[in-house]
Amino acid sequence: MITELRILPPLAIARLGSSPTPLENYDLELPEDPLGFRTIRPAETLIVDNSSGEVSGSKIPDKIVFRDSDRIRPVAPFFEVFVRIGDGELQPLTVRLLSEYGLTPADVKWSVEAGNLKVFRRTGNEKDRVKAELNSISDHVSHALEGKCDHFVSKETSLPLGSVRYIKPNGVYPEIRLRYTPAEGKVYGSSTERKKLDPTKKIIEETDPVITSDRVIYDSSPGRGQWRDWVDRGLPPDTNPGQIYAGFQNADGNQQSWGYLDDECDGVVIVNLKIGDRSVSAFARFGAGPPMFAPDGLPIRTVADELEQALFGPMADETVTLVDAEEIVRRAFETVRLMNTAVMNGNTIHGRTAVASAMPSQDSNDTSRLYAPIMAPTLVDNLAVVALHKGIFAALRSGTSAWFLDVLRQPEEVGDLTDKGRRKMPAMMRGADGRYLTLTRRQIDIIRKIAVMGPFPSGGTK
Amino acid sequence: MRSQIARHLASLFATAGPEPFKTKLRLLADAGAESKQPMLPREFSWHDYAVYLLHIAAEIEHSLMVQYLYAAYSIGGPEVPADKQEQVLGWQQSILGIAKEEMGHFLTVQNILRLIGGALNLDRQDFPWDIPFYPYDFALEPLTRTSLAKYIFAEAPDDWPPDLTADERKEIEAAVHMTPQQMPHRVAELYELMIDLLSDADALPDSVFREETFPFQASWDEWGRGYNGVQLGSNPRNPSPNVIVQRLSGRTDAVSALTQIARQGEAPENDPTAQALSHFRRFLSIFREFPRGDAKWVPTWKVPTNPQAPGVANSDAGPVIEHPESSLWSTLFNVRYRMLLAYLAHSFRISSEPMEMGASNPRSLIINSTFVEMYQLRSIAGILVSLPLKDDRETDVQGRDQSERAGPPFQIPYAVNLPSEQADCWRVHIDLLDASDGLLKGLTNSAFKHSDYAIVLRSANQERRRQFETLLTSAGAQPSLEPHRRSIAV
Repeated sequence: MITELRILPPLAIARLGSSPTPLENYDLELPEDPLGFRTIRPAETLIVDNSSGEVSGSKIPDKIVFRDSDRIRPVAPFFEVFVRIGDGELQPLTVRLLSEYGLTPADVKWSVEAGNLKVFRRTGNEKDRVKAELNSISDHVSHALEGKCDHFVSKETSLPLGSVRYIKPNGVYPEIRLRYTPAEGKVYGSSTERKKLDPTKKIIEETDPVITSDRVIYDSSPGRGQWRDWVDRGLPPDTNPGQIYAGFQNADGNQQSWGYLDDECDGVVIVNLKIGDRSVSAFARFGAGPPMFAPDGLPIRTVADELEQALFGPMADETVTLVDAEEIVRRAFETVRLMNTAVMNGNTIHGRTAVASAMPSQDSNDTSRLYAPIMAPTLVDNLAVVALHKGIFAALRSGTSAWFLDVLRQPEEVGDLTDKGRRKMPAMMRGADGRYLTLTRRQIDIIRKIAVMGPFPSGGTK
Repeated sequence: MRSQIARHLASLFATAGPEPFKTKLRLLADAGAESKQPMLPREFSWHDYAVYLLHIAAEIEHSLMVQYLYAAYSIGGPEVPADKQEQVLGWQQSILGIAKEEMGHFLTVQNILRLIGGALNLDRQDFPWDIPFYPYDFALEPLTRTSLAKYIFAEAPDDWPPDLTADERKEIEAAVHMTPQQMPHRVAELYELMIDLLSDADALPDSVFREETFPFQASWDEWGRGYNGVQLGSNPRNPSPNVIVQRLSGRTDAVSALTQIARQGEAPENDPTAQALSHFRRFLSIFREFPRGDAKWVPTWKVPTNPQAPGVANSDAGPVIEHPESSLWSTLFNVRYRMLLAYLAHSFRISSEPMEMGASNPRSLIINSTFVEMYQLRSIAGILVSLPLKDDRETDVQGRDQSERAGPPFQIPYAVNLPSEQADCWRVHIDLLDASDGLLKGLTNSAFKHSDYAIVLRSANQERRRQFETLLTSAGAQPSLEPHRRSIAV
């Protein structure tokens, strides 16, 4: 008896793109040159026939193509259904397995719910929620996820949040799966005009270079939505940091919204199977975010690190090795090489101070701390900082202990705005709580355990 | 001590001479006592004499730093019981902290030299060094109760503190065959004399102090790595080092910096916090925990005293490192030590001003490269203390390797001064990278234990070389040729 359904993966991250061809599958491998870029290794990729909705075959591409001309290939994940029979192992749900229970693929029902709550997150107005819903899909055509919102210009107007397709199983690929294809990565708005201040600080309007008439979906007329011209109120419910939306700085110095919406979203996929008078179901989550423009490296802290900590706790295994610490340092130099370290440090750039909304500005804005660069301005030339991190990586490879535990920022120190506190690692970056980024406790514990190993080659970490 | 330095010391220690110091100040050590007028040797002006004294101070700080680094690197090994490892690691961190503070002293002394227009001094004498301010020869020694006793003695205040037991005092004094009162000269005298001399406007007029050198000097923000004596979060067991690196714009700054440095070792004040941070107290704390001779475990690797890389050996120094892999790493260690000194010297020639004003220059690269070399020296030292000294293997009855280990030789290069032109400085850096590359190529031999590290270090080398090539070209010189291919006999 089928006792449980599962959708794997339980969380999938899609990436926006306007090419009709989805990005093919690849693995990231460590490079031959230990300090080089990771190797993008093409991996087996399922090919979906657009007309039938079936998997027509699979291939390992010769190389991975990230864009077709100026169209970026979207990352379109598959959700695959697994079942547990009795208390056995999970196994793929297939046509044959369905038939053993007198069922067909049409008995599998999919529901999808997706939302873009970015505007609602700012205004708090329920009518600003953008939500798409699809129910009981059992066919194999592509279904658009049309985001609806009470403040859109009409009931027919929608924000495209991508599409889903229940892949038609066949003899070669009998598994039950659904594919989510994210939206194109377009920006929508409230008007074909946008505002700015003229030199006399008077608001003027000019043709919006982004929003054409077909992209005007949000109704900002009087009595309707307030997203256009929205200004964060400086109250606790604001995002932290606040005022991080497209707009212009008004005469009061506040960020005033242009009323833009993007087509990113989060959602839930639900699969349901009715077996006799019994119903089993499972769900998985997905998110659609921007494309990865540096796919041959990884950020210093990712959602995977959060999940690992949530699953396994804040303490690393006793079996950690230098390789685990190396991976953290590798991700550090992969992250640093994408940063404009001079700007993010708060350096004066050609006579201008505070040229970007980086941590030094935030430290001053939030706490009235005197504006000052984080590190000595003379230290943060990007090539030099990348080389420094690579040097640390090289030193670790010698088997020496990780001596830099002292300079790692502890989770309790994210608000330490002393010079010493601001200079801890990771540097210059903001965490989700709006203050300085830290590694996860689990990552820090890896470094802590490695720090003991170096001088005691056979002693381990006990 | 080198004769060109030593021959002038007589006047430093003399109490009368042909040209008395014209200052109203007296040596601080003798405050209240009969004035002990320092003498100006005939070969010097007061300004030149100040530079001379700073040169001696720089050599002492440099030597202390290296000596303490060697002691710290010797800590560890497979014989440290699991339940002692955290404690032993704490000792290592504490001694490394003291070495970092000596580095701060070393940099600040260079800053003063820069301020008053003296040549920098990154040189020192190879070990053993019979320095007249210390009752024992400076040496690269593994950490033992005896070497700890020496360090305690050298950093001790004038009078032993009351909490020092009679047994401890006996053991410490036995290590140096002397009591504090019998010590002929203390390094504090040197600092006191420098403070007096730099304070005196008759000896050194204001015009000697060149404020415009400020942007060329080392700063705490650049070199301190956040070590300001305040311990946060991650490592509460040991106090954070307090690295003093002061930039100086004039006489008052220079005198203040020298005073702070002089105090950091001994912390003579009756301030418990300062006492806890003093070098004396930190060494004493380790001494009290350190196992005695009859203990069943040894907290250090079996490393020699004053090891030497292959070459014409100094008969006064220790054994030559002969094991094939160890000898290559020891030679590489010396090359990377020279690289570090060359970067450090270069940093004093590149102004911080352009970057502070929003333009760019290579100061960032040269300072960060210095730090990278500190990390590599630590790593190579970690390798050397674990590799054999000689090619033959000694085992105990249980078959465990009991061979003596190698150690980081810290041999001073034949020259630490840089050429006059910027382009030639970059050429020196490239030369050293090429020398390093040749050794690393030999070390990538997969039969060697640490070939993985050699591979990654070589890759980092090549990247840095490309950056230096660019700077060499922009400095107006023709780019270097590709590194000359050579074979390393392994």
